[in-house]
Amino acid sequence: MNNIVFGKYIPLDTPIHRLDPRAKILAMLVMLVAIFIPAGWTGYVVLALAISFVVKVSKIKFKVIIRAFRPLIFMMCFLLVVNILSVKQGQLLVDIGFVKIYADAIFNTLYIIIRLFLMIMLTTILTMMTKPLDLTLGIEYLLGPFKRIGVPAHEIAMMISIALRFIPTIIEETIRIMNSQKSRGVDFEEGKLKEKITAVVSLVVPLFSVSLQRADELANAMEARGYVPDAQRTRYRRLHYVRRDYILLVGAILILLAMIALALFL
Amino acid sequence: MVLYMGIMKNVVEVKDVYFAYEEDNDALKGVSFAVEKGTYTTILGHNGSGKSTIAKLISGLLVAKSGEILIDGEILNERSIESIRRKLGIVFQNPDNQFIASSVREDIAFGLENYCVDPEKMDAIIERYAALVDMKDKLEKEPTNLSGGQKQRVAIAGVLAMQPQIIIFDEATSMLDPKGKEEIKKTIHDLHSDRALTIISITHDIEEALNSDYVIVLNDGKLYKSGRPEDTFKDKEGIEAIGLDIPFTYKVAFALKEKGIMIRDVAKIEDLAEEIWRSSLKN
Repeated sequence: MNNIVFGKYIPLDTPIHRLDPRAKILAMLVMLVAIFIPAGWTGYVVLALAISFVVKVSKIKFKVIIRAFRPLIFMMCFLLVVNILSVKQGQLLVDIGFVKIYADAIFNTLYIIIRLFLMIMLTTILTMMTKPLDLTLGIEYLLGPFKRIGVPAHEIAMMISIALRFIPTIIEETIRIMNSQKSRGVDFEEGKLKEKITAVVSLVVPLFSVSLQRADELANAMEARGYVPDAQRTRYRRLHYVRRDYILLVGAILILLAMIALALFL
Repeated sequence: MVLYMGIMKNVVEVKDVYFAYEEDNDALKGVSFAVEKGTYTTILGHNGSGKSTIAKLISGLLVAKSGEILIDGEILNERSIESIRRKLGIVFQNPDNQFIASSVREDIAFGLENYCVDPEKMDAIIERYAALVDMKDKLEKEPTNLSGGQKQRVAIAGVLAMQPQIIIFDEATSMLDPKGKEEIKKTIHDLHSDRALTIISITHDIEEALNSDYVIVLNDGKLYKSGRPEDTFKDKEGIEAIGLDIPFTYKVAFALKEKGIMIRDVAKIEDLAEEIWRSSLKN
């Protein structure tokens, strides 16, 4: 199951791990904006250097990030083809009868690929270096100011954290139901499409029914322990910005400004 | 114990309570009983007798169709529910479905957060109650890495941290392996050793009922019997007729009586052996 979860949290103790989740989320958003500013090749070099530095500090192997990139290769080939067919500007590079490849087509595709690559690197760093619960807490804090306009920040965070908490439990449950259906003769691996669908139904129906029962019992347990959704409650885990968080944010904003400057003056 | 029973006040009073999950099909048909402060009361009954329904009614998770429930002298209704909930904790059957947070520490904190406890004070409270259920070295563990018994102990710590007067155990050991069952039974027993807490245990475990102060037997939504365990289990035919078992020591005593050997009813195996020795010496 581990390789399915993309950007799964890696429990290490690096400076990136210790950063405040809010600072990490905000810095990531700022950097995402920076990536989309058309600052030419110099800009991409600056961004790539900055992000590579973070990857270096975070001790993730580049190999792991490349692996996250692999499912997108098909999409990139597709992009390349579309660009070749549609972009008719720049220097003519190849001309074989009906196929004419122009330089801009290649450059456009490269731009998009680099942007995607940088984006994936950023988000992977965020999710690999931040506990899912810290992320949730960060989101709750960041959405806090929007409570006034009716954004249920706390409820959203509570839902995400319960969902995260129950992922392993539900996976266990799924395996258990699959095994008990297999022992009753259901074949999950082989058979025609129709047979496969029947097999999946025999898994999904009990899984739903058990999950609903679980939800009911969980709601009872939460209520019995005094949980009222929209009531005032204190938080055990609190977040505090410290110096390194400000450094990260200032760094991200400086990079954004640099990109804007590059885009305007080059 | 015998001395102060009766003069102690009733901390839970259930008065002629009716409840129906579906219309025209009452799960509870006029149940009344009382639980004295500081006692260990077990509620027995076969499946569908209404014993878990009673637990949910007392803790305000369900609302009775008619009748009255008083907790610590206060009538349970929509207005009093929040103050009553603070006096009462409940440990459910399924260890997984009451583990709300992603670590032991945060799960114990969940109830404290709900009661707006100052976060500065939470660590001390969490550590105190985790130590009480012998989970202090596992505070950072995730639920997937804990056994059923350990998860139930976390649930108990979570309830204790809220300092209730009454704790209801709703078949809290029924989904555990024998080792987990023993752990939880010992934890509950230790909790009750100073008699500050009132414990209501809904159970299938006849031996647990035998070791409690009071037994309430439900059958088909009605109160079948209530009283001290010694008196309750004397009624061998009646208890067996409603689908329950009687304790092993009582069974032996009954079997011996049928053979004309009279011994006193005793709860403990050791006392039974003693009684058998004594009767064999007499003959």
